[in-house]
Amino acid sequence: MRSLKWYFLLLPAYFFIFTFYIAPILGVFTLSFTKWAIISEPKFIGTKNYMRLVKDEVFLISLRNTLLFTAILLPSLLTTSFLVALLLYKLTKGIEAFASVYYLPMVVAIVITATIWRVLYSPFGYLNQLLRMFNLPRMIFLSEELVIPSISLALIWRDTGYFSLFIYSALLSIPKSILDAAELDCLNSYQKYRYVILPMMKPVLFFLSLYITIGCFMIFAIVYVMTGGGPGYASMTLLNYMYETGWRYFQMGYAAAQSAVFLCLIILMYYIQRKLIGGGGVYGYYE
Amino acid sequence: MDIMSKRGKLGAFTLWLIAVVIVILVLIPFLCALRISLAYAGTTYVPFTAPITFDNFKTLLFNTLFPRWMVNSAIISIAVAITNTFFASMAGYALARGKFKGNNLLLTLTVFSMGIPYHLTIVFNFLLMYKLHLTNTLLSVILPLAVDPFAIFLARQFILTIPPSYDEAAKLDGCGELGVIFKIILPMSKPLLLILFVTEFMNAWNNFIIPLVMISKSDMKTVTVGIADFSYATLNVNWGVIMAGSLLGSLPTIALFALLSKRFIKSFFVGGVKG
Repeated sequence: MRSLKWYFLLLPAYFFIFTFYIAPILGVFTLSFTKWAIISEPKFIGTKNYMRLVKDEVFLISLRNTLLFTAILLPSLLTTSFLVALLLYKLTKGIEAFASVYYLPMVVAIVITATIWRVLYSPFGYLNQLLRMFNLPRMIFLSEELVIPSISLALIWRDTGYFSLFIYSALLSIPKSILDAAELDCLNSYQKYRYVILPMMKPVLFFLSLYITIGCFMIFAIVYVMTGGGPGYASMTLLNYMYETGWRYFQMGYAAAQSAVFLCLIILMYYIQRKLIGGGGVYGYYE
Repeated sequence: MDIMSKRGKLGAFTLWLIAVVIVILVLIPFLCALRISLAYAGTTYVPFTAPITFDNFKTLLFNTLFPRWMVNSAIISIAVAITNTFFASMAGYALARGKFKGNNLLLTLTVFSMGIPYHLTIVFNFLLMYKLHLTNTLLSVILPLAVDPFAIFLARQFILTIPPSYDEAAKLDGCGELGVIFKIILPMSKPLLLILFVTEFMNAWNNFIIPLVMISKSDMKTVTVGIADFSYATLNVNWGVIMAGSLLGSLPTIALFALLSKRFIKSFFVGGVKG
């Protein structure tokens, strides 16, 4: 009887969690075995969607592009945010003000970031004017060869400040006594970073690596706005392809199969994370 | 000694200079957007010395659906902020204080849901809204965002920091269960409620995939979907108008952040944030 009160408090919140988080996961797996064109009813077709998936060239290109994004963004974001974190750590004045400005791109909708960067990248835009000032040839930033590095750069611009705060926070938690001991042992600053600070940064760097990897798999809106997956399929990502499949070609069952594979990947990543560092969820992602 | 402190000062100045350069790098894209939005041309490049006009803002506000999208986004975001603040803090309180069967299971479920991106449940949620005949209504965006598992988790963690001895003391003074909630927990949770409201408002305002999928009627769209539409749908793309929309569209979240930036970054300054 006493616990009834608690259930009453929990009911509204978990009604929504079950309806919009838990049921859809089960639902997506169920739908992945159907053919469903929105106007008709879903029809059971067995594992056909999955058979199609492994042979789908565009899906494989999207997977490759997503992995390419990860390969570029993981090392570069870790480096830039580590450097910015060190800068904040070394600063003596105005740290909070600088940190607030660095955080700023994170609060702007990614669609808006993408729109602004699309303009910066345009063939006659500001970046090309800058190149001209230095007598450099014009670059087509969103061309087949450059599109993934260009979009990555926009994401580095957006996320470095936010991620650096995690590393900065970890730097703050290094006990002063350890740094003093390093000083007493006459370590130079390179040695201090290499042998004292860097090893202590392992947990936060590992956490960020997972965060960034999952974020790379979630790239959607920025590609949608900047290139729509093009030119050709040069910047098509897994989520952009899922969206195309479902809402441009109205193959919801096939889109569900893609989501299901994706969900398994995500769950696998969490599982690895739990095994390696235990506890704590990774939340937040790009769109 | 003198030389050392001089070197120290020089070093500090260099670092400060680098920090300022990064500030400029962060702000430049916004300044470019502002420059384009204040120009006649509507092109992707406008020299910083070109004459200034507010024509694009006028066009945006009087000749496009943009004001309507702002209203839609505002309704959705405020509704989502309210439901989250209300329901998530209730559930968070129950998870933090409640002794009932399944407490741990619900917590695990919450943390698990926190990791599920909207993109992967959207196919089913779309089916659900479609079957309920709710697509093309604001409700179809509000409902999936109404309770964020992260908000529940945040509320639980916060309420755990309120010592249970306060509850006990209040009960000894003759407070009932409701008295404890209204006299102890709620007044002490004000920072929590504020941060829940603001983060969930921003979350809803910036969301893209849900309104993109749920809404196809132009006048029901949100700011994010509208801006994305702008650059594709129109034949003669006027970048001045689009940049004006981008700036106005990010104003609410930037303003909230500017007001509360200390709170946003505070948790990082304590040291040892794990995530």
